[in-house]
Amino acid sequence: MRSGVVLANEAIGGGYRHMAVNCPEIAKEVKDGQVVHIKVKDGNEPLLRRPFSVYLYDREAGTVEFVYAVKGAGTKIMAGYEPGDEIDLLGPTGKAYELKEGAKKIAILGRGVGIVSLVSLGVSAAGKGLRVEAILSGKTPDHVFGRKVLESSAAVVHEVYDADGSSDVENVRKILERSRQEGAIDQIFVCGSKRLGKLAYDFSQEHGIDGYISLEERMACGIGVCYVCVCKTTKGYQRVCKDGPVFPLAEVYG
Amino acid sequence: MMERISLKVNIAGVELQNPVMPASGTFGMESAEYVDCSKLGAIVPKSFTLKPQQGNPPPRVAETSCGMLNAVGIQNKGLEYFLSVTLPFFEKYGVPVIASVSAYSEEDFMTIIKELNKKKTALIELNVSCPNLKEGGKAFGQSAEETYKIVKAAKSVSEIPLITKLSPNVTDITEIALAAESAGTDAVSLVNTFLGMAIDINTMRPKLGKITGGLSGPAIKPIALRMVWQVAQKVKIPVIGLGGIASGADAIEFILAGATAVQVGTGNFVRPDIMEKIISEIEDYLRKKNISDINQIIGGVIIE
Repeated sequence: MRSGVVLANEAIGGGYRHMAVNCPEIAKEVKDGQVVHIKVKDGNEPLLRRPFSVYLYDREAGTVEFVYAVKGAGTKIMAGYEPGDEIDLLGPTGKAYELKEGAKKIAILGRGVGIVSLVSLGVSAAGKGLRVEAILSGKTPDHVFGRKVLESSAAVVHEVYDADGSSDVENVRKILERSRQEGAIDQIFVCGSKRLGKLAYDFSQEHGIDGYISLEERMACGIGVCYVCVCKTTKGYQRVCKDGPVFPLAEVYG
Repeated sequence: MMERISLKVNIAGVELQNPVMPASGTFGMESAEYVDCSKLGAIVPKSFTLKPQQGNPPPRVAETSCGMLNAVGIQNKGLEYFLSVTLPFFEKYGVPVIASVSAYSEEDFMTIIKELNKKKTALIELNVSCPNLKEGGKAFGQSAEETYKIVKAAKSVSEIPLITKLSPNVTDITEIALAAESAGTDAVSLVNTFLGMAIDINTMRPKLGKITGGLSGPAIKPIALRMVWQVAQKVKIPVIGLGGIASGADAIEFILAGATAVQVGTGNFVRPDIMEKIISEIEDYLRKKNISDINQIIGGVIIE
C-alpha cells in the first residue's frame, strides 16, 4: 500500500477529471499501460478499490496522472478530492504494453476513457524515436483528450467523433490504411472499444503485425488472487488484473 | 510493563503462532509480494479441486453495501498444481499450511486426501460449503446428513487433522456443526459466504453471470458472529471464525464469541497486508487489557 498526495483534480469536459498525484514510488516503477488501485475512501462504503490506468507519469518529479470518468459511487467521491488530500494506492499492477525490438512505427487506437492507458505509451514510443499514429475516438470532441500531450511528443494525432460520424469503424480503417501506405506499422495497440479491438485485430492479421488490447473488468483484489476479473480468451479465462490488462489481440479475438 | 504476550493457539494439535489466517479464495502466491507470510498463524491457499477447472462465466463480482458478491466457481489449476507448485511455495515460510479442498463427490475428496497424506500438510480444510459450484447455490454442507457422510469418509482416509468449513445457508448451523463433529472432524470453520443476488436495473439483468453468488465482507459480520457463538456453545472441537473480519477488533469479537482462530477473507482484497495489521491490533488489545495469553479470552464473552 502506498500513500499519494493529490496535486490537482480538475474537470476536463466530457464528464472526465484529470488528477495528478505525488507518489514517487509508483512514478518510479510504473510502466506504460499498468494500473493503480485506489481506495477512494476509508471504511466499508464503498468497500473495494477502484482500478485506474495510469495516464502519464514523471519519474523525476515523482508524479502520476490519471484521467477518470465520473460515473459511479467511487469516482463521485474522487471528484471531491482536493490538492493536498492523501490517498491510498495499490500498484502499479498488471502487464504493460511492450514495444517490439526494432519497431519503427506504432498505431494507437483509444476510445473514451480507454484513451488513458495508451497516452503514456505514445509518449514513450515517440520519445524513443518511433513514429506514432494516434487515433482518439469519442462521442464528441469533449470526450477526447490527450491530443496536446501526444502532439508535443511528436505523435500524429487524429480525433474522430460519433457526433460527426467520423468515429465509424470504416473511417478509422481508412485512416489506418492511409498511415500504413506512408510507412509500415509494426505494432498496433487499442483500448476502450470492442469494435476498434476487432478492427485492430483484423488489421494486425491482414498485415502480419503484433497487436495488443487493454481490457477492463470489475475487480476485487487487483493482484491476481481472487479470479473475479476474468475475461474469455483463447487460453481460457484469464485474469485482467494479473494476466492483463494488456493481452495479445489474437488471444481475445482469435 | 507486561512480559511477552502469547498469541499462540492450538487447532487439533497444530500450534499456530497467532490466530490469524486467510480465508480460502482470498490469498495466493501473488499475496506474498504484499504480506510477510511468515508472520501469519497459518496459510490457506485458494481451494482446489481434483482436476483443473475454469470456473463460472463472468461477470463474477458485484459490489454491494459494505460487501461483495462473488460467483467465481473455484477457478483453479487442480490437485497436481497444488502439490507441485502452491504447496512448496508456501511451505518455505515455516508456518502451517492448510490445504483447502473442494470436490464434487465423496470419492474425489478421498482421492485428494490420500495425496495430501503423502505431503503431510498441517491441516486440511474440507470446503463442503462453496455456494458457487453446484446449480442453484447448493452445497454438501447444507445437509447434516451429507456433511456427516463426507466428513466420515474423509476422516476414514485422512492422516491429517480435518477442519470442516460450514455453510451459513442453512436453517440451523449448529446441527451441521454437530453432524461434522460426530463424524469426526477435528475443527470447524464458519462461515462461508451467504448466497445472494444483485440485479442491474438498467439492463434488467442479474449482475452476476451465474445469477446468484456468495456475499462476503463487513455486511455479513454480525450474522457470522452470531453463528460462531451458537456453534461454539454446542461443539467441543475448536471453531475457526470468519465473515467480514477486517480489523483486530473484529477478530477479538469472534474470539470472544468462541473462535480459537479467525480467517480474513474480503479484507485481503481491500488491503493485501491487512492480516499483519490485524495481528498487531490483537496484540495491542491484549496488552491494553492486561491479558498475557489469548487463550484466556476464547469464548470469553460475558453474558449476564
